[in-house]
Amino acid sequence: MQLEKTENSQSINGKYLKGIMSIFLELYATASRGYKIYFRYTAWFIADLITTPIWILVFLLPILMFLPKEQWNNPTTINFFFWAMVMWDIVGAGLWSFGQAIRREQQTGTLEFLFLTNANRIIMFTRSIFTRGLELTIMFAYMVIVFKLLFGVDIILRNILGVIFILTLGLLIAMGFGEIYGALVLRFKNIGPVTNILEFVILGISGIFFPISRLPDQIRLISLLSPFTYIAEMTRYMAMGIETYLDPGFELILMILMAIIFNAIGFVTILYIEKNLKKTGKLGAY
Amino acid sequence: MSRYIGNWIMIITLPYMLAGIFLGVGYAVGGKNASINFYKNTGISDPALYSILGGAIMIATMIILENTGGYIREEQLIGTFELHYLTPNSTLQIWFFHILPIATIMIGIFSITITPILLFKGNLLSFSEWLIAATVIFLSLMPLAGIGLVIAALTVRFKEVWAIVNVINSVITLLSGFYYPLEIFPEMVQTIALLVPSSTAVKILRTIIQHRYTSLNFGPQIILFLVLSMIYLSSGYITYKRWENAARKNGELSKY
Amino acid sequence: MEKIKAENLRKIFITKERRGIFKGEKRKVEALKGISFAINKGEIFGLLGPNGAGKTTTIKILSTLLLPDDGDAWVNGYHVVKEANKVREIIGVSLYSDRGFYWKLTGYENLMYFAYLYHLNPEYAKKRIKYLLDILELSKDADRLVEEYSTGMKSKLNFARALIHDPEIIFLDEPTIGLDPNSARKIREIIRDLKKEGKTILLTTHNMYEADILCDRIAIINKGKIIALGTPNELKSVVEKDRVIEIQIYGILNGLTDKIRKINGVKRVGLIQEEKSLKNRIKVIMESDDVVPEVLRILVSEKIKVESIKSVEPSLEDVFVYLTGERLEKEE
Repeated sequence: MQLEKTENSQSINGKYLKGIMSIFLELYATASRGYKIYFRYTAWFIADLITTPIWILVFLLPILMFLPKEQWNNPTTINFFFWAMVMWDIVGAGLWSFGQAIRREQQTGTLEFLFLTNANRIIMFTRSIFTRGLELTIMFAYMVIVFKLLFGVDIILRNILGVIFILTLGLLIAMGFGEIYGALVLRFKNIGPVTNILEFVILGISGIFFPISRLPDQIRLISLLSPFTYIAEMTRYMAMGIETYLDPGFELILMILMAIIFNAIGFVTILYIEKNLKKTGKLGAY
Repeated sequence: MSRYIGNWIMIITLPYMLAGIFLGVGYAVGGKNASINFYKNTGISDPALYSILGGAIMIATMIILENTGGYIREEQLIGTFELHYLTPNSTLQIWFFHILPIATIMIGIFSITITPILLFKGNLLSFSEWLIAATVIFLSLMPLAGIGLVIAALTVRFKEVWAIVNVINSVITLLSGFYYPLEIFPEMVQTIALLVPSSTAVKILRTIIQHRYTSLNFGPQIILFLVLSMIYLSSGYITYKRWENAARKNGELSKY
Repeated sequence: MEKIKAENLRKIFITKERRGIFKGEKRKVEALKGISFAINKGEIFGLLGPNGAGKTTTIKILSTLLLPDDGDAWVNGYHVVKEANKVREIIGVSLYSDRGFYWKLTGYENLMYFAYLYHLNPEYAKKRIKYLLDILELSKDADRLVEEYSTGMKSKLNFARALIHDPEIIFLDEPTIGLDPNSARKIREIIRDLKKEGKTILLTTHNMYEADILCDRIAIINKGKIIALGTPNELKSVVEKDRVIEIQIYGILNGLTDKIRKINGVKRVGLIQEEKSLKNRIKVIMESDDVVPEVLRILVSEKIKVESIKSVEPSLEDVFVYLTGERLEKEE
């Protein structure tokens, strides 16, 4: 079948941006949309500032019950918890960011309109990554103050650049993980309850709150399969100088590989699910 | 209800998962002396039962707060909120009839949640103990419903219900002592915690589960529940009516 | 020159029907049963049919949002499945929806966001959006959050989004639904202007009047099949030799249309229910006026309260009644 094909004439005279510029345009559009919406829900932002220290206490006090009172202000213990809270945010970013963004598009009815464009299927759902990144930065600074006020302990930061690098890499891995997970949201819609359960499992097995060397052998094997184990290990290594379970260089290479592999798998999965939903006609369903 | 089966499973299993995390991390960081430390800090020798019970009450508390506050927000979002004003019923009445079944469901959920651990410990409640526990939960949920009504009122005005719910939830959770004794806080904080009905409910239910109660134990607490119910429900009523009138004047009832 | 071509498109949806609390049963719904048509450059082509006829399914397949189970379709020469990216570049789509926007962004910001996803040069996008907001009379509300927009304003914004990259081929799904008469007229004017610019337009509607005045050619679609295709006049010629009377009545009696249908010389009977009143219209397509006394006799014997009876010129509505023998959906 051959109908007459005509080039879109205006593409020649600069109506469209092409190549890398179009990717930058998508990134800019997604980020600015994300930030605009984020700051227009000011109540959320303020609520986060109020509740963060409270939730930290609610979560840490039950654990402190297992320690003698003298250790409640032990700098190493508290620093361990501090980085665990940062890690928790990263795990949350991984699990929720894409899934939440996709679910939001389903609910607002914008998903079909996004898929009518040729924009990159990953970039269009990265809104939460931008806002999460900002939120993490703000919360990080805020938590340093909160921990000082609550526990009277300074946060140990031996290699600040190393920590920034590891956390960025960690966010990238989390993003890839989130893409795969987001694809499931695209397919199964409301998987909030499953996400909660998975979040707890990940927190439990990934050595977020304690070194994986303290885990039983069989569980440690599983924890070595979790990408979040290495993010937690390397963050503590860079921040507090705590030894990693495997060689730090090897763990770093693993992290880089995971960032690439997870994102590639995530991208392919989203495309696959998009095609599947176009077959079943459920793309617009919410 | 069957269409939200995942949520119900989540609600029932969450106390176990949280307890699992706290115990797992607690034993990992506490090492060999973890149990002894826990006993010294809380006076309790069974951290699993302690945590699961705390978690079950926490979930009931959160759900009642979110549902009473969130109910109106849901109605706003799906566009049916304004329609209630066209029916010859009081919206408060409709709202209250929405709360009663939730409170009853919460008693059921609480019972289902704690049964496995009590069964495991060979420590099941007798019928009369269960009846007292159910009454305590119901009574403790009523003041919370009053707080929920305040949230609902704020929802009519500010729309951002989940942010408000998040703040109130966090404060109530902190001051309820679901996972730790409130005695670790300064006395001032402990006094403020008396205004949080779930803090008293947690204490009573722990006593019941340890079979250490006599009917005389609870007299003052029941009076406290009733006083708190009156305070919160009436302040909820006043706030709600105030904002409702303001929303009617500004034409904000239909907005979302 | 053909710009859009569909050949034997088929689509089956599997739906799950809930029975009781836990039971569910899968059911197949055949949305398209092998439809074919072609649309020429610069043509306004209408897909006319009741709700659930398969109009939106057709548009979604052509706009790459849905994959056909069978058959092929090309837009501007590009295959809608194999060359979906090329198709998306050249089409603008307005799907019927009162959702589909970000509530916490303004109308302008919503359009700008989609402009960027279409990779439009920011300078061009700004000018284009300003132009579209102007012609759709949305300029003064451009900086208001979409959460404050009325249904009609959202419909217009939806229309603007479809035109944002000035596409050559435009798919409009029920473009005037939910709009007040003035806004609907404005949209129809713009559609005519787009045709003058040489755009090719496929629009779906269940509004007979709209199809009649806007479309160069119309395909009447019912239950997933195209049952007639031609210019409005060609379609009307189907019932040209017949006489059509329209009876306006209050209420409706069960079986009334069946009784009229049984009269000798009556070809088709259609019932058109008015949305906002108790009035109903019955259209009777018949061989000659000789049948009228018998129709009146039935109305009298059934004690029907008749407001008016008039002879009318055949319209697309009559074509639909004639071809399907079925009553129409509610009118706007």
